[in-house]
Amino acid sequence: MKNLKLKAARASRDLSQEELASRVGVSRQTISAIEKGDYNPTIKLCIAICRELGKTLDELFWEETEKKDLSD
Amino acid sequence: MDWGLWIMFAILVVMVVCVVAVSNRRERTAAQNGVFDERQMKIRGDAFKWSFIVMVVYYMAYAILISFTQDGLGAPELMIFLGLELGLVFCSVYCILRDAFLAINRSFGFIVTMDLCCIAAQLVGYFRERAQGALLIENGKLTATGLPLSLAISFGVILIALLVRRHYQKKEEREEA
Repeated sequence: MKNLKLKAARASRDLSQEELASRVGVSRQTISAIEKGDYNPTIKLCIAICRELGKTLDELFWEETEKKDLSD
Repeated sequence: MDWGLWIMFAILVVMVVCVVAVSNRRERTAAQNGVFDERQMKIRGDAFKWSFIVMVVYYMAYAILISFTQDGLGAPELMIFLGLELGLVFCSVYCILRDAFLAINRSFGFIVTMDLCCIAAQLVGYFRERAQGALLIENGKLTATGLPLSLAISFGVILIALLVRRHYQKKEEREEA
C-alpha cells in the first residue's frame, strides 16, 4: 500500500526524495520504495524520518483501516 | 644501535600513523558515504543467498553431465570459472535491478568506467591470444582461451544492467521532480 502521508509530509516541507534520503542517511531509492509501499522500513528508520519531517509515527506510518479494526 | 634499524622503526611508525589516520577519516565519512542502507543490506543478503544457490545448481548439473557423458563441454578450468562468473553476474544484476548495487552517494560513472575498463582489458587479452593462434573451440570443446571472453561477456551483462537501471532511475527522478 502506498504511503501517501509520507509523500505529503515531505512535499509540505518542500523536500525532494534525494534531500530527505540524505538527511536520514539512506538512498533516494529507499525513500521512493517506502512511499510506493514496496518496502517496510525498520522502526529506527521510521523514527529518523518522523524526526526529520516533524511528525509522529502515528501520523506517518499508522494505517487508518487498522485503527478502525482495533476500535471495533 | 645501527641506523638501519632506526630507519626501519621510523618507517614502521609512519606507516602505522598513516593507517590510523586514514581509518579514522574513513570512519568519519562512512556515516554518509560508502555504506549501504537497511533496504540495500537486505537485498544484498538475498542476492548472496540466491547467487550461491545458482552456483551450486550449476556445479551439480555440470557434475551430473560429466558423470553421465564422461566428457565435459570444455576445458575444466573454464567450466569451473564459468560457475563463479555465473554467481557473480547473478548477484550483481539482482542488486542492480533492485537499487542495492551502489552504496549511498557512490558515483555511478565510476562503476561504469571501471566496468568498461575491465571489458576492454579482457577483450584485448582474448584477441591477443587468438592472434597468437589459440583456438576458442578445439575438437568440439571450448578451450581456456574462452576465459577472457567469458569475463568480458559477464562484465558486459553487468554494464547493460547498470545502464538499464540508470535509465529508469533518471525517469523516476524526472517524474518526482
